[in-house]
Amino acid sequence: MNADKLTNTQISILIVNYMLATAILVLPRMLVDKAGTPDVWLSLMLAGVISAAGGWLASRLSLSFPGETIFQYGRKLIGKGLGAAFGTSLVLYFLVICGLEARSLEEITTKYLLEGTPSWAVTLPFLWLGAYLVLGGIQAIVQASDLIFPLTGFILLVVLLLSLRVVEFSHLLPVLGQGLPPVLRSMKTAAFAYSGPELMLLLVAYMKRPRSAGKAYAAAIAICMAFYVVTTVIVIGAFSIDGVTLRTWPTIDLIRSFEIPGLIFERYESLILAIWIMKFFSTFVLALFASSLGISQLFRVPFRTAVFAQLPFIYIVQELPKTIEDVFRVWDYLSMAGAALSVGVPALLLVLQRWKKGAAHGRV
Amino acid sequence: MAASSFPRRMLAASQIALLLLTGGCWSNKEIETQSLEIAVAVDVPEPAASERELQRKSPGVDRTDRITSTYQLILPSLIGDIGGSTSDETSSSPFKNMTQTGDSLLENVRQLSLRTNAAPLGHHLKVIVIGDRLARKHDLMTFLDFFFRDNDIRLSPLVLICKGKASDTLEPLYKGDIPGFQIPETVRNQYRNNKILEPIRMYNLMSRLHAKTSFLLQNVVKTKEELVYSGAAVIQGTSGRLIGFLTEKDMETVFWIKGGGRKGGLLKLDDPELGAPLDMEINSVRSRIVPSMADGRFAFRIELEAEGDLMESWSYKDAGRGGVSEAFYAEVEKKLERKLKGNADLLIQKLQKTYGADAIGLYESVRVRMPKTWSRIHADWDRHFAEADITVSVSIALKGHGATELT
Repeated sequence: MNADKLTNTQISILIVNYMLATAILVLPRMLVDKAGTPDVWLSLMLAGVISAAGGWLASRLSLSFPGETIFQYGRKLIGKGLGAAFGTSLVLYFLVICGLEARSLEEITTKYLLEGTPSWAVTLPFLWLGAYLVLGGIQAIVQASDLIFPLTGFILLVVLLLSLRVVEFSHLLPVLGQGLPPVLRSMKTAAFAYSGPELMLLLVAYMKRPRSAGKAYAAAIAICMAFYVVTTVIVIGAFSIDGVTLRTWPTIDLIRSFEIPGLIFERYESLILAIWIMKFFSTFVLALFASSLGISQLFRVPFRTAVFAQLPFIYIVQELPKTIEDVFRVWDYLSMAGAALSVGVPALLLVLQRWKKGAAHGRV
Repeated sequence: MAASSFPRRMLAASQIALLLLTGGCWSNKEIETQSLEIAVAVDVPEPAASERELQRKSPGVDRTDRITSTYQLILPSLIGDIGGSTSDETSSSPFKNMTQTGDSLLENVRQLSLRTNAAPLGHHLKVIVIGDRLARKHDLMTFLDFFFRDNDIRLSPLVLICKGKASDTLEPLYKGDIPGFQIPETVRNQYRNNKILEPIRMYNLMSRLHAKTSFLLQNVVKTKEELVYSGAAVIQGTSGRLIGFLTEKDMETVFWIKGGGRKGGLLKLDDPELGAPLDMEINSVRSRIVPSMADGRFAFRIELEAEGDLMESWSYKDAGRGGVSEAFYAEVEKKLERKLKGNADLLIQKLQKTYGADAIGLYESVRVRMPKTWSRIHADWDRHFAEADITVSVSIALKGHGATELT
């Protein structure tokens, strides 16, 4: 068991990989749609801080039950029935994430990379490879994650730097021209980008030094925030708030807005998309791991069975939304559910646990 | 352990073999069967001769012609032939232009598939030229819509207006010319000539059209021997249509007002008293636009500052011809200032009175400095602009005089 323990860095990278996937491709549009001003980078920062607090809460809660995941300690805390209900909703949440992540991959790949390839031919290998990696356990996932993070991060950074040529920073002015309300309005959407605290409900059990879980989580948030803010600023700088709302995938379109003659490639969107599939993959794998773990621990099913049993359902979830707008709508609901599940409930549970402890002390 | 490893290895080997042998690109297409669309020209409908002939021979196409589009297609299958010593006329240019008239751009491009085996690929589109008559007739957003939606065509193509028939710009002037590549290259000469506008590509055209503020689009003119970047078209924000043109002289002034420290170009003085011409090469331009509002009426103060070198002088008063003084330079500076102010006043009057459109982006200063006001009045900006009180002040400093010494 001890060999399975993860270091702080590994946890941070895992969480960065989990959070930094689809959101970065659509965030600028979703945020500006809500806010109507270029100040959305501020809401991204604020939402990041809130998510960090949520992660800290979830870690605190997990700390009280060393080596156990929420699926195991849930019943101890709020009783068998409620614990199972909460666990199940978390499992469903992760399962829907798997489906949506696979769908986003399908949408982007069949549109920009492999036009003409049937969507099942794109997604089935994705699902199967994901399942294969998850069967290898958390260590295998972490190792894949350690490979994916520097590669994807570096290439995204390079491409963002290259796209500075189409940026006019005046598009980001005025700052707070309409005051704070637009910033607050888009906070809810920004939360979508930071769905991650829920992971701390189960990952802390695998940590070598669970005490510093909150710190590891905060580091991950800081990295994600940097990527989000830089990307959003550059995308708005290129398209202005008038243009950004017109594009389905504004970040991909940013890269489709320039050509660089004489620098290995002239066009970079294929490169970044091919690379970014790995990010989709990491999110998918981690969510699949979480839901499988939940099913096996809640219902005492072998982990293997749980993984395979879910694949058909994931595919159904993936194909259910008719249009890309439906996908984004589901995602919107999901991010709210995520906020409730990962910040609201743990906060309640934490209070409950403190109170129980206090009551127990009082009696003794 | 060892016993089980052989079948396992065989299994692994067969998996790898499968991967190597059966892997491939699902929807691959041979490059020889494709053609690369590098330029598109769109015009008011005017069926080409061959299309009229087709109508005669095989009538009954279901359409009310709305738009004529011309595609410049690079044919990779022809490129191989060029290096060889062929005397064949057609193989000397690796492209062909195809013109199609129809209801929509999608229909037009798909119609091409009835006429050629090579399917046009949109990834490499470099330039879109719009005929002025089409731009006067329709909102740019309408006929460009297809380009914004298509998933192959990128947002990087340069967009130009052509006063005249846009499809003419795609005709090669000399053997070996590929207009689709050459037209957008000229934009790079910005650093040498300030009559070229900051390029507008699909990505910022989209934002501007959606913002519904007026702007300028570079104009090109095709003569018998040349294709020239000349002046700009004024696109009205509210209608999205072309409403007029600015001349090359206006373009210089636009460059000054937009400022931004760009280098390039010169300021010419033609003064009977001093002798002419006297050319200042511009080294830096700073422009400051200060908006203000009183009683619902806007006022702008435009302050232009520039430094430059006197790079050509035919004046008998100048150095080299003896008798030069500081006073001479001061006089030149003053006259340059007066001239520039005159040009600016003319341009502003033209925009305010003739076109009633803020195509030089004065609204930017309002948007940034008075955001609350801006959000209230931006839909109606051009009217406010037309009534605004605009004053221009100019200050020019001649810093150098080239390699000719003052004596």
